[in-house]
Amino acid sequence: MYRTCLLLPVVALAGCGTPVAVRSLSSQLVVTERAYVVSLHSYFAAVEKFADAQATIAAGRIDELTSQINREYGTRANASLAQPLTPAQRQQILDTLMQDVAANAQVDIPLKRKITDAVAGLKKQDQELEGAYQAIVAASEKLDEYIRLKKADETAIGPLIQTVAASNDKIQAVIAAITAITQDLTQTSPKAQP
Amino acid sequence: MTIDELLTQLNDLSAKLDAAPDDDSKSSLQILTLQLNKQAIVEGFGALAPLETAAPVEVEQLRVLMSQVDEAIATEQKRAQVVATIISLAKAALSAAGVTLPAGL
Repeated sequence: MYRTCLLLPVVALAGCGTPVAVRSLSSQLVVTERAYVVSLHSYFAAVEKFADAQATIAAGRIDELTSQINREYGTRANASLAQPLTPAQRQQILDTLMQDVAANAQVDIPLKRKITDAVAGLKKQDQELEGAYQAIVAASEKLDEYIRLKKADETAIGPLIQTVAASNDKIQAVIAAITAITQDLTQTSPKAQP
Repeated sequence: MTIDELLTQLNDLSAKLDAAPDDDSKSSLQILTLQLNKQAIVEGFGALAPLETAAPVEVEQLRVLMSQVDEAIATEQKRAQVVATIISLAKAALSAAGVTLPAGL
């Protein structure tokens, strides 16, 4: 009886192992997620490169517009200077021109900063998303590690499960073996007791 | 009215004033149009602004739970060792009792 009891948990746990399909899905999920991280990284790198290029083009275009505006100021000053003026009035026009040009350049600083901040925000968000996805992958890997873990019940019945899964013939053989052991134990049980 | 719409109107107005003699008003309008062009360029990057205030993805809980799974793995490994020991002892006991175990058990 005592020996029968030893075998009972082993037989009872025969259906408790993690199904192969679950292990396969878990393993494949990790593989796919790892590949996705690489793809995501490439995607973000391309978008960031594009954003950097757009920022450079925008800064260049702003400089171009600033030059055009400065030319307008110059044209306007030249038109004023063409008229008969006192030296003080001429100086006043030249001072105004200098102030307008300087102010025009100052206006560009916050505009360009707004662009670089926007691109920096994009990159920061990319990093956060990538970091979050890395954490998701790490969690999947951890779950997969647990799923693939040879658990206590599987340690006990591992060989039996493998035999059962191998073929139907073997299933019958294992059942016959278990039946034989049980019968044997039943017959030999009184002899084993002190 | 958007910056683009305003810019279109200013450009239309500038076109209408092309034939007019050059004066300060016409020059001011031209400067205003050019300045607005700068704003329109910057506005194009405004589409990225929501990213700066976007809520970060919360993954801290994942990290906490991962450490719990680590503990579960360690516990399970210990259990597996104990069960393996018990099975080994059981096999030895059965063998000692004269029971022939089938291959795989």
